[in-house]
Amino acid sequence: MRDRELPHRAVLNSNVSMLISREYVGYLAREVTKKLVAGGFVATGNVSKLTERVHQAMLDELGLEDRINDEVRAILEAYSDEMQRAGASYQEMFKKVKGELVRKYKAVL
Amino acid sequence: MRLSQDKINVVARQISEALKQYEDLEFIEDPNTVRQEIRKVLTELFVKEAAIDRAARQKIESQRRTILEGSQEWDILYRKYYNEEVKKLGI
Repeated sequence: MRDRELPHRAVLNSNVSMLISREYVGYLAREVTKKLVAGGFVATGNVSKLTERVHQAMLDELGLEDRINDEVRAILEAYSDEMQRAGASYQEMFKKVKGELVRKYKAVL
Repeated sequence: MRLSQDKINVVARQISEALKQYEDLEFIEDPNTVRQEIRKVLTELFVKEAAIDRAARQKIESQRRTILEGSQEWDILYRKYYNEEVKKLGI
């Protein structure tokens, strides 16, 4: 797995918005699992449990950008007074801080 | 596709890692072959998803008045039309 600490993992039922809808990610997990098992790539005694693991792995990765965005917002909120005093643009600061977090977590968005 | 190939590769790798950590799983093919199959399946499915996204956006664009992307109204309509498209596929 990753050798870096990432923003907290996605929870299966959390209300995180993602580029790809939660329902479609569920479908992706079922299809990937089905094709791996039916295609003879892997074998398991518990397909549902396997699907859950695949689903969680997908949610973790696909929700990464949202978690990074949340972290950026929290950072900017903490520094909002200073930003206001300095006349810093929110959009520019958002982009800068996000870029730093993407590098920090070695994220692929 | 709405996801880059790089991102799909990362997702495939993460799934592959999750499979390796799952106790009740036997690799019949080697892990690298499995990861490539995962990538292939994901690519096909994300192409399908891009069509769903396009169909939802077209429905919003076909509205009589202009609804700006990023507005709350756009988000609500997008989610509604997106889910309708997903249901059509029996997902």
